[in-house]
Parts: sequence; structure tokens; C-alpha cells
Amino acid sequence: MQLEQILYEKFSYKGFRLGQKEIIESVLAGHDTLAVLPTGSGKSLCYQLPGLIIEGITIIVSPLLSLMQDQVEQLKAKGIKQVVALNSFLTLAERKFVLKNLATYKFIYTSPEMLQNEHILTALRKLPIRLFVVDEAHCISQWGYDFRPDYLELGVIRQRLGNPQVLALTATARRQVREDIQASLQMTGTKEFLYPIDRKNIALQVERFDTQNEKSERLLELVRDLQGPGIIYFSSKKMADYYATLLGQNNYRVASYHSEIEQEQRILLQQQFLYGEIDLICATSAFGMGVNKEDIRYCLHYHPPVDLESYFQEIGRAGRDGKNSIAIMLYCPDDYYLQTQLIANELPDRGQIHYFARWKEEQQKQLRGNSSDVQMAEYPPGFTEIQFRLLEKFYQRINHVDQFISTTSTFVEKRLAWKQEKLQEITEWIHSTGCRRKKLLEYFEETQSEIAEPCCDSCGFDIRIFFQREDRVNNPESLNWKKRIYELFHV
Amino acid sequence: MFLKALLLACIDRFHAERTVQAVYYLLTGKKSAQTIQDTAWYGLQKYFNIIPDLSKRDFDQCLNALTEQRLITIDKQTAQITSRGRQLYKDITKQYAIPAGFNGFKYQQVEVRFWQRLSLLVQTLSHWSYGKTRFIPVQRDLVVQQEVKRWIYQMSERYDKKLLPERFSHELIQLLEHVEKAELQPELFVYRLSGYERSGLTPRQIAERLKLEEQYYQLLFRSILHQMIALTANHRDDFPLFTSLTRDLQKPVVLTRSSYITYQLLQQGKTLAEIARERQLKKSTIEDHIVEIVLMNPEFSIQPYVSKSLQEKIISAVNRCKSRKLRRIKELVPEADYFSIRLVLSAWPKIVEYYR
Repeated sequence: MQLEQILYEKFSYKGFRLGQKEIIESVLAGHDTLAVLPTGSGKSLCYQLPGLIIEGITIIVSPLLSLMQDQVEQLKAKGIKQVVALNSFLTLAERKFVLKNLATYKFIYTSPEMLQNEHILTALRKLPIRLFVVDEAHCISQWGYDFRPDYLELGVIRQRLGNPQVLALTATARRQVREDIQASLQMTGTKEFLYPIDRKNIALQVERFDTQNEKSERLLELVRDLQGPGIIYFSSKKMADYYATLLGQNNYRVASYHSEIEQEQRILLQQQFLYGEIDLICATSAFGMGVNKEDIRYCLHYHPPVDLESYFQEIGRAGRDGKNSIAIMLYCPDDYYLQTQLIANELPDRGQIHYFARWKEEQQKQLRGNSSDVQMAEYPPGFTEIQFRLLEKFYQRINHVDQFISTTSTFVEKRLAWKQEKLQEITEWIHSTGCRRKKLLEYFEETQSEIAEPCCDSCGFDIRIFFQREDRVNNPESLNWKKRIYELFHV
Repeated sequence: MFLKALLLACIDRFHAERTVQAVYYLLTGKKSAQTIQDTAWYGLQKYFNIIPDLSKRDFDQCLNALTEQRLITIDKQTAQITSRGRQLYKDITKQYAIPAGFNGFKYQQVEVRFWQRLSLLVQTLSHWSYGKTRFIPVQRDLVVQQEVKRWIYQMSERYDKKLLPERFSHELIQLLEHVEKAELQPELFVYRLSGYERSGLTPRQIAERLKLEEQYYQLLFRSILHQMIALTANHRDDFPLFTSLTRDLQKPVVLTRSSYITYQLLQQGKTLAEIARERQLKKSTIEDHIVEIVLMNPEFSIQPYVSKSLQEKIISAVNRCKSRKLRRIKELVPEADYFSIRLVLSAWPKIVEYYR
């Protein structure tokens, strides 16, 4: 059967988008494949389609648990039902159910942490796994902006799963990172596919302010003027909540969206955004949205992210339908210190490393003791999940305490310095005077092939083309429960 | 403000005889023998499990605020209400009436499951009634998805794809009419539901629309769920679809496993001492079990353990000292042991009426 035919029958798409077909053919020909595709270009199709054709099971490793869940439900809604997400979100009953039925799935989404679990790995080893997909593969590289130590073991895990063919996917990978990915996953005879990541339909603009107040005023002005739907990124949940409330009081249809919002509410908010029941999302930069909304017209950064990769990823949510969209970053000098703080908080500091080592020793002592029912907290207090996971990883690999402390400290120092460098790069970009697009593409080792129009604030454009064309209506109808039930049940 | 009102109410009732931790356990519905006992002895049933997701941090913050405003005083982890606090409580308590249908104890295990099934089912049937079968489910729990799928499959023997949504919406409307009569607004519930091209509102969104505090809104919402479960149980014939949907949720309130074993042995006619020997447990542990059984089961007679006359003496002592402190009660009835006092307190929640 023709690939196009399967594409239409199973996914109801009329044609492939840039790169998809080449990548799929490479996978079907049995090559280890590394693909760099821009965000929002249909990366997941590159394994979903071949996964249906290949006999056997496809495993997809993804670092973002909430996104994984969304992808699974979207596949199911397309009628591809043999899909499951095997991750720490599952309740005990769910996990039992999934493990019992493991052999019935065609696609198994999972996290690197889950694959560390011997019990689960043993269950997976019994299955005919033919394709091993690593999504967001830049997480493997120490030089990837979002390095996750758990990703380092993936090469070994691949072997233990019977060395299935690899497909590594990422949206942003410079040469160094790509080399790391291949080495770490022990890929051989790799076919590399690199596609231009420039999003020509997104105009870039940076506005600088002296104080937070001016910035805040400008935000409200932009929200008033710009044609939605839009996303506003903040660096903290608190700020996202604050502005969502403020804008809501000003009659905008808005919601805040971040990791503290419960899953059930998140599903509703995604749905509302998709159906156009709300037009504005106040989000934290750390939190992705698992919904494929094509018509997002603008993306505002109230706080800049900590590196250009994150920035590029985040603005990539705008304009997936190919229509003109705009990304505006609001910057004020305070932000730099806030970002420095964010970077520092991500990693454990010296005190935490020492404390962790002591905590571990204490834990082991208790385990050796006769008391089998000692209850230890799963986490020591005062650590974030990411800090804890990183420490745990290093601790597992290094048995000697002093060595653990010195190795970890060295790693953290190096990582901090490197992150600081990344921050420097984005800060320089913010303050640069030439064409922003050119600079950004240079950073990603890409040369601009076509001129974008409108391009960026340095090249100049009239922001008014992004202003409101329709009058905003927000007259919520009065609540009437019977009417609502009649609507729901088409009476 | 709602949380403040709750804290003031509980602190007032506890008469500085229980710690603030006990208040936290009560509000979040901790299923321990101690909390269940406190709930019954102090007549605080309607506060049990009233905010299940209250974080300790928010609780502590609220306590601090109350202390700073001199509405309560805290000494050795035990809080006491001030006259200012009592005044404020009087002023605000009206706006936070706890609906009669709310029962945080009885429905603790089942309310979440009921909502998960119901919301997924409504979403499914709503799509059906528009001739659609594919959508992103509002409930992600695979077990819930399986349960709903199985239920629909069973129903499909009797109803076709057109009839099932019709019948179901009919029952739903009838149930909600009862709810409305009980003076709860069905809107609070209905706008949470999602269906074809209509997303439900989040609790925060609907609370904002109705100008309610989110925490208080949640209580009203849960009260509607409780009411629906209760109505279904009491009128099985009127609500056949809801009855079958909730059949496995209508379990009697259960004891802890160990207490249940003790209960079975008691039913076989074994004595307390025999059970302790047979199970190789301390006598005091079996006594704890019996107290739990009495709390959970109003019909269970305490006569075999406390004579009628001693019961009366203990009740009158409680009324005189107006306290639930065992030691104080024992001072007035020296011949009673602690077990007897606990049994009487647990078997007579009505004593609480005097206590008010």
C-alpha cells in the first residue's frame, strides 16, 4: 500500500508535510534515523505511521509526562486504540491493568524513569519491540539545553530490549548535540535529516523597559490590541495566576495553565482553548500544552526564558496554520536576575549535595537495621523533583560518598557555568541590533534561505497588522441548567 | 473566609480538648479510629472530610491569620476561640451553610469515582446524540474508562445508540429536579459537564461566574453528587440507569480490616478475651476495634460491656462536666473504666445535643 493512502486512511491527512515522508521511508528501510524537525511540523507522525506498518511494538520515550498523556488520547481519538502511556501518573490499579495487557499494545509511550524500573523492563523484554523512538532527544546530551541524566541510560536499555532500530527526534540540535545523541544511543549507519527550523510566518519583536510597571502596562495594552488567540508565558506560576485573574476581571476569556492545575482541569482548559471558548492562556514556560491548536496568533513572553532553545520552542506554538503570527518578548533589566535565580534553583547547591549524601547514609543504616517497617520519606525535604532525580542518579552510579560529593559538585559547577553562558547568549540576542531572525538562525547553525516578511523589529514592520479585526465579544450567556442538558444531549 | 468559618466552628466545638492537628484531620477526612471517634464524640459529623484536598500549608496559614486577628489563641498545639472569634463566626456562618445532603463520611470512598464515571458517560452519550463517537475523554484513568465502556456495553443489549442518551438524560433531569427542590442549584453541577463541542467549566471558572469562593463552591458541588447518589439508592425503580451505574459504589461503610475480623468473631458469640487470645492481640487493641464497630454501626449494642445503670451514670457525668476528656469523666464516675466511657461516648452521639 502507498504511504499516502495509509496517511489518509489512518490519520485523515491529504499529504505529507516537509520531511515526514523521507524520515518515514528511512525508518521503514530499517535505518537508525536522527531527525531535526521544527516544532509543530508533525514530528509524531514520523513514528506513528511506520509503527503501524512495522510488525511488532514501538516504544516512545518522552520526558514530558503530561504531553505523553495528551498524545495517547489524541491517537485514540483518531481510532488508533492500541496505545498506552506507561508512566508514574498511573494509579496502582491502572498500572496492573496495563502490565497485564502489555502485549496487546502497538505503541507504548514511557518515560526514561520508568525504564529504570527492573520490573517494567522485564515485562517489556518479553515483547517484540522493533522501533525505539526517543522524543526530545536533545535531553540526552550534556550540551542539550534540557539535559536529563536519566536519558543517559537509554543506550543500555535499548540493548537490553534486543537492540531495536532507533528513531531520535528533536526540534533543536546543534552539531555537538547530534553527535552526543548518536554516541549515547549507540546508533550505527545513522541517516540524518535536518530541516530548516525557521518559522517564517512568525514575526519577532523585542520590547525593552526600565521597570516592571511599564512592562505590565504594555502587556495589558498588547492584550487589548492584538488579535487572539494568544499565549502569554511567565516564569512563575504565581505570576501566571496573577495575570490570569487580572485579565479575567477585565472581561477577557482567559485561564492560567501550569503544573499545579490538576489534570482534569487541564484537559478542560485545553478543550476550551481548542474550541475557542477561551482566547488567552497564561502559562509557565516550563509547561507544555498537549493540544494542537493551529490558529494561535500571538505568543507573548512576559519573562524571557533561560535560553534561546526554550524561546524558540515556545514561540513555535504560534501560527501552526501557516498564517502570519507574532512573538513579542517584553524585557526589563530585573529579568536577568530572575533568570539567574531560575537557573540556580534548577540544580542542587553545595549544601543540598552534602545533605543528600548524609540523608542517603542514614537511610541505608536504617535499612540495614532490624526494623523492616521504618518509614522513610521518599524525598528528603527541600528538594525539587529535578534536583532529587539528578542527585539520585549520581548516587546510584558512584558508591563512594566523597567521590559522589566531588563528582556531583563538579558537574553542577560546570552545568551552572554553561547555563550562565546560555543565558548570556539570549541576553545578547535581546540587546542585539541587527536582524533578529538572522541572529537566531545563526545560533542554530542555519542560514536563512528565504526572506521573511514581516521579519523582526530590527528589520521593521507595522505591528498594527496583528491588531484586532473582530470586536471582542464577551457576554457570557446566563446559566440555565435544563437548557444546557438539552444542548448536551441534542434534545 | 469559608475556611476560617470552618476552623472557628471546629475549634469552638473541641473546647480546647483536642489539638489543631485533630482539626486538620477532621476537615480532610482522615480515616483513623481517633479522628472518627473525635468526629462522633464532639458531634462534628458534618465537618468530616469537608475539604479533602486542603493542604497543611494552607491550613497553617489560616490558623496563623486567625491568631493574628485574635480570633483564636493557641497554646501547646491546642486552640481556643476568643469572644471576638465567636462573634465573627456568628456573623459569617450563615453565608456558608453546609447543605443537608452533604455527607463527607458516607461518600468519601465513592464520590470521586461517581463523578469520574458520570462525567465520562455524559461526554460519551452527548457525542452519540450528535452522531459522533470519537473525542478526547475528560477522564484519563484507564480503569474508569474501562468501567464506563463495560457499562455501556451491558446497556447496549437493551437500548440502542439513540435511546440510551435519551433515557439517560431523562433520568439526569429528574434527579436534578429533586436536587433543585432540596435548594441546591443544578447549574453548579451541570456546567461542569463536557459534551459535543461544549467543554465543561473548571471549578474556579464556575465559582467566579457565580461569585462564590472556590472552596465553598466545591462543597456545594460535592453535596449535589452526594444527593444524587442518595436519591438513586432510595428510588431504585425511578432511576434504573443510575442505579446500575452506581451499584458497586453503594457499599456499606466499611471497618478497617482488623476490626472487621473482630466484628465477625463477635457475631459468632466469642468474648473479648477469647478474641484477644485467638488473634494474639492485646486486649486494648480489641477494645479499640469494638469502639470502632460501635461508631460505625449505631445498631450495635454496648449492653454486654456496660450495664444500663453505668451508662446512665456516665451520661449524667458528661452532662455535668461538659467535657469529652476521659480523665475528667472518670473523676466523676470512678467505678467506670476508660473502655466503658469510650463506648458510651461513641454510642450516644445524641449526648452532643446537650453539649451545644
